[in-house]
Amino acid sequence: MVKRISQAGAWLYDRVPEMLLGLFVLALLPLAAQVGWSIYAFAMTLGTNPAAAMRALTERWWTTAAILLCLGATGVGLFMLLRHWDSIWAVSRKLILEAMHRKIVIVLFLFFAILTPSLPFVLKTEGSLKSQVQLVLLYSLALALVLLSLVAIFLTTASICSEIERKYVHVTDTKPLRRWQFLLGKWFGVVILCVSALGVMTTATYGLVRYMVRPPDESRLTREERELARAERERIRQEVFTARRAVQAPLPVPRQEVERRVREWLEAEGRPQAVHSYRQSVIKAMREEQQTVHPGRPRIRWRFSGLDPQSEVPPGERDPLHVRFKPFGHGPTGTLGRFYPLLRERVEGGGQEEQFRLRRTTFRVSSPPAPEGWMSNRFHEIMVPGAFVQEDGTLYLEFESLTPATVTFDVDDPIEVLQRQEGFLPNYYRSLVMIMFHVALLAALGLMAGSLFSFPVASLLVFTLFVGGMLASWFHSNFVEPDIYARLTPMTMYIDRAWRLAAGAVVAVMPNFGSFNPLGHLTEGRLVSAGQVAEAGAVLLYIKGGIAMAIAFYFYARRELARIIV
Amino acid sequence: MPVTDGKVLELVELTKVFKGFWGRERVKAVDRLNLEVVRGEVFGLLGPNGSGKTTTVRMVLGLLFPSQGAIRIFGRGPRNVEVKQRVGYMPEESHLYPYLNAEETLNFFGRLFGLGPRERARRTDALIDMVGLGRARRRPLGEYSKGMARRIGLAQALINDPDLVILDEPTTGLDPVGSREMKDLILTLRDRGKTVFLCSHLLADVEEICDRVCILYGGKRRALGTVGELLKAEEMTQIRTQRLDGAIVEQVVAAIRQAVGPDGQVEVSAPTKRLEEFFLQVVHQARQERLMTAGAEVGAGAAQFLGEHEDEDEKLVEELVTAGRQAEEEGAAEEETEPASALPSSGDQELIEDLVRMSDTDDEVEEEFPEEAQPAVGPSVRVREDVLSELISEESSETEDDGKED
Repeated sequence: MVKRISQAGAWLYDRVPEMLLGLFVLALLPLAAQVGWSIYAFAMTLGTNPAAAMRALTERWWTTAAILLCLGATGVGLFMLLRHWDSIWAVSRKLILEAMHRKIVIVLFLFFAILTPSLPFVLKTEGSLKSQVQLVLLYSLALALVLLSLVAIFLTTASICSEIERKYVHVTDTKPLRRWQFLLGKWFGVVILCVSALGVMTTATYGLVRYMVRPPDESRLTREERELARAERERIRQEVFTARRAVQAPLPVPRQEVERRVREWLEAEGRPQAVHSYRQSVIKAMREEQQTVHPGRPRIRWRFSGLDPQSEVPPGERDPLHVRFKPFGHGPTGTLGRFYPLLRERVEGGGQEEQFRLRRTTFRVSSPPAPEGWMSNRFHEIMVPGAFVQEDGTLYLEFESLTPATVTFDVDDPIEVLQRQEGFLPNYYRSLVMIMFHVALLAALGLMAGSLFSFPVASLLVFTLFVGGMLASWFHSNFVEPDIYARLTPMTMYIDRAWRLAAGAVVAVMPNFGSFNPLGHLTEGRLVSAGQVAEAGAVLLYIKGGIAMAIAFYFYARRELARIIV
Repeated sequence: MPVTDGKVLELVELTKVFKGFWGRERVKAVDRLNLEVVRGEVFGLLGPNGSGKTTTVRMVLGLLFPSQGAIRIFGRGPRNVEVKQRVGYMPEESHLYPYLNAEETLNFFGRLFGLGPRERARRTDALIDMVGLGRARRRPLGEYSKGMARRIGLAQALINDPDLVILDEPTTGLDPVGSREMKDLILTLRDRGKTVFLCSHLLADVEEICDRVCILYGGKRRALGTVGELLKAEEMTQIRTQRLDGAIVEQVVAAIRQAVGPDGQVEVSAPTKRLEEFFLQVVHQARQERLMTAGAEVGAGAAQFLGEHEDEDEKLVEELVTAGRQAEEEGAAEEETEPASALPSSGDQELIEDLVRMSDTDDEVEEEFPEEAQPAVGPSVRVREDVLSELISEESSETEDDGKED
């Protein structure tokens, strides 16, 4: 019996790479299904309404280009993979066995298994279940991202470097294996391993957060507690376990006024290289002026267009909208003001052109009370019934200040309306795909560094790129954008310019992970769209990852894998 | 594949220059080396440490790139994938993955050659049996002794049934049993039409198995030829016979002294068994007594699949001959007046038949005179062996690691 169990164990162990490959294919099936469905839907639209289809294509050309790049590159990649499957899979398979041998997978899961369930007890939250769920979701996925990134970095660099340093390539390279196949096999192996690990980790995370919002045992609760618990769970369903599309109101500024101020500044300062930064600061200041209420100007109105009017649903059953805003200022505590969704009405006898007016209804929502000494950077959300969306998909919203203080709505994170687009799981899945793009890029960078440098140097280089990529936005704003307030002499001006050019070049080659990080969107219940996934795929996987792999192929193919010893 | 005139490996003016950090030439590891290795021969590359043997082998394998000159294997460059499909390489050290076991290792390399699962399994089993690692087949290679690692190294080199086998110090690290098996295997491979290119420090082994050798020194070719040519002592004669009485010996010695004169060199001694022979006898006896061992067992002889396609070639020749005969018979029956020139020329016919006969008789000879494959080492050839040893021991004071790396 023991012998049979041992034989079965050995049989299973031998097939772990194939099982992981199966898991990898399984994990990609929803993506393939979604891509297939999107292509089908587009083809149908093209058949029935070609103008609308073309408009959809050209409206956001960059997203369209990204989708086309992803489809084309995936096609080419799949063709190459299948054509050279035997060689590539042999290398990938060996890498997975290597990872198992090095106990990397076990340590990874152990680390994750210990940390994730302890997060709800460790993390400091506002006290609400919603914030607890959001934090567990955020930190678990961030932990998975960091762990898998480290695995990708160390596995690729260590694998390539040890192959060379321990002379394993002296045998492998004499087999009919092209060097690019060898590198691609390594990359594919790391990706399979990380996708499988990510699949297990994120399934565990999903199970954990679902467990956190399980229905309580209501028999032990008072009626009030029961209602509160239900309301809390409903809030989580509406604001976390959902995928909401964000619509922002335009904040137009008078261009002529902006240009006049820029000209005046340029004449006074004479620093043409900082014009762009100064113009941005002027636009921001003017927008902040617009987005500020004070006793002299107590109201602001916003117009949000492009929402789904949900016309086919009775007004009372339409999905609610959530208005998300970040106010800051300084003043007494208490309610800042009230939000009024407005209805648009046609003005009778308004002449030949149609004229409208906006009117309030009895519906209003008070903003949450401002905390003590509120220089707040916190977001707030209020709910507005879906019935206020006009037939053309427009929502008008008005804020009326009730405080003597000056309140400014942030213009970097402007007020926006969130409307439910689909369920949480598809959003969760797309976020994971974006995380995988990060990991795949790091694996490609690891191979690139491993092809050029020895182990510790290669790992350190990619690790630096990883950290730099996480802080790319900070680097850009602090080291690349010119400081418009700096007083520079002609000499220091040239040094400043040279420094910022060099810093700009470094930042440009850094993988900007921050701009493609889906975790913030996911935990706030915001839609991670297929377009965003395509853009992340195009930039992280196919452009930056492709360049890294091309560099790796070029140098590795031209590298002498043995040393001359004389 | 291009026509190669039987040349399996060709080195033309091969040069490898080692350059320093600033690109300045520091040393020529290999200097204008010209070599040709033909199909079916065992070719030995000899030389002291630092003579350029390993650098040459690494260039042949495509791990180093020549500074000048060319390498042609089966008429193509060494990095060509089709060429690699026909080459097997066993490195001096076990540069194999320590976390894989023997099965996984052979499975991995079999995949690289595009072998299907059944063929991989068949060859894996055959090779593991051949190298005597049946009991250690599921142990990670990291736990293998050096000799066992060499055996699995050999097995992986043969997984593709290569036409050219490159062996770096094939007998180093092997016990005498393994060493004997290795040498027998090399000779078997040669008999099956394979070409073996090896480099070694063990001169007795090289002398025993190589058809031709090349001696390198300072990256340059110093000697090249068949072992017989290089080691032939023209000025000496050796007589060997069964044990004789002292009186008869004295008579013979006296007769020889008379012939060579008082200054001539005459040695009379009772030949001793070689240590290798004695050791093999002891191990053979221990095995017959069924004593257990945790290490490698006796190998099962060359795997059946090695050289299978050579048999196919023979079959093809046979088919051609049969077809020719049939055509001849049919032609004779149908067109009795057909001139003889319409049939395959009698010369060609004879050549083909000779070929078939030769392969048959070769086998018979091997069975009748197996010792012919292992020529005895007599005192007359020791003269040259000493010279070789002297050459090779010139840098023997270097560290062991240096020795490994040539």
